[in-house]
Amino acid sequence: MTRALLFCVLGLAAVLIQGVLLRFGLPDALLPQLVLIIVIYLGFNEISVLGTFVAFVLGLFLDFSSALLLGPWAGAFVTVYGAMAVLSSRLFIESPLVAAVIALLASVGANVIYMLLGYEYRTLAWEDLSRIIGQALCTAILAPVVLGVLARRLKRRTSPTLGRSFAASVAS
Amino acid sequence: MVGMSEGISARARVAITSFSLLCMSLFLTAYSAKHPALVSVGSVLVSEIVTPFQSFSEFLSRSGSSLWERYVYLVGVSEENEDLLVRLRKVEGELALLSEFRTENERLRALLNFVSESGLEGVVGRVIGSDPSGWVKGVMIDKGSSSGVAVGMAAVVSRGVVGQVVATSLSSSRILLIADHASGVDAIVQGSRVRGVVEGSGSQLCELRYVTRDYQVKAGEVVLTSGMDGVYPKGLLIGTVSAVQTGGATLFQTVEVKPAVDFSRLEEVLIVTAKPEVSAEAGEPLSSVVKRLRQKEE
Repeated sequence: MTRALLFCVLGLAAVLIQGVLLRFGLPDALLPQLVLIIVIYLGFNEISVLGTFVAFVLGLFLDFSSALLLGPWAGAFVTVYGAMAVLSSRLFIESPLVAAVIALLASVGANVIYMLLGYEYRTLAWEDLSRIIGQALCTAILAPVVLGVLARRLKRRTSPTLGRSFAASVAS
Repeated sequence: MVGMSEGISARARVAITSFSLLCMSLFLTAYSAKHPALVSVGSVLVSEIVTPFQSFSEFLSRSGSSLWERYVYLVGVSEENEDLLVRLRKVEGELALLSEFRTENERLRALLNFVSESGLEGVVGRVIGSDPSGWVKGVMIDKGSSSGVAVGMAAVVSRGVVGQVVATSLSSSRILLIADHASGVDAIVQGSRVRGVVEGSGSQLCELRYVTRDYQVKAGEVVLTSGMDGVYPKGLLIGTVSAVQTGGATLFQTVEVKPAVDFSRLEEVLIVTAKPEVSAEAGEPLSSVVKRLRQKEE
């Protein structure tokens, strides 16, 4: 549970950094999706039902920050998390190249799901396409570094899932 | 073998939970679109947590914006010139700071003049953040419900209309810019007196919608708020018509509007706390006109 809270705090910090980067003049098409990188890390390292809920909550943070619609980012992040969890046994994310490609695809996927979930409530423009590609590239460039830092700092010593550690803490 | 089956079932559980939460997201999206108050509740919570950090980062950027240029470049300068360069940089820094104060002073003076000339009552807020996803054209300001800001209030600057408050917390508020897709302003073209709704197009330009092809709108004409939407006071500058397209099979023409405000350089905004009264003699509300025209088109 402590780890779940830790990831929520990390997610809030990532939302804050993204907001500050935009405020300092970074174009929105060049914004790296830091929260998404945390979700990718969760999908590969914290495979459990609780981890799914953490990904959902991280999406809600981003939805609340936009203060427009509640749900699109939550849905997008949960889908990315699910996909990562399913693929995690087949991929070696420690390789920077693989991490970058996964982040690129996850970013495109998350943005497309965000668009689809909010399609009824907002019109789409050509600028959205450049934003998706730009954000995906920036996320891919940053992902190996952030995932490396997260892996070093948050490497668990015993059980591999959030759920198990939670169960173990309850049992103890 | 047992471990493998456990692993598979754990992934299956995650997949099922993910799918369930995705369905829930879809429901939440639909529900929150009809009940914006739901978003406001969570937004207030997140804002309360994030605002102090955003204000702090804004303070850092304002007080030390030229720190890099003033000091880091001095590394590697020869000892003979070092002292001289430090003094020079200090003076430049002070000049830059004075220049920053002067610019801020001019901006605030323009806003004050605008307030006194327009007769609007309001609260001046400083922009401290932007939408973190980049998908919503919105900004965050450092004034909230404790300063009298409420959802639905208009945000303006001396150059024109900025947007509308969509969420407030005690110490901060979120403003949806008129350049966003979800935004809509009841507008009137100054010269031809044609009415329409200015909506964001996601780019730097907006569109004046629901203008029938019977009316002549020319590029360069000024677009103002009509005051009929009950949000924006009448007569505020929205922008100028940049292009008009009359082709296509629809009843309406496409009118591109270039906003008067450069949203990327917003620093202070005035939140209009006194809501404008809708003039009874101004005619039929545009919402009913749009509804009537849509029915006619169908």
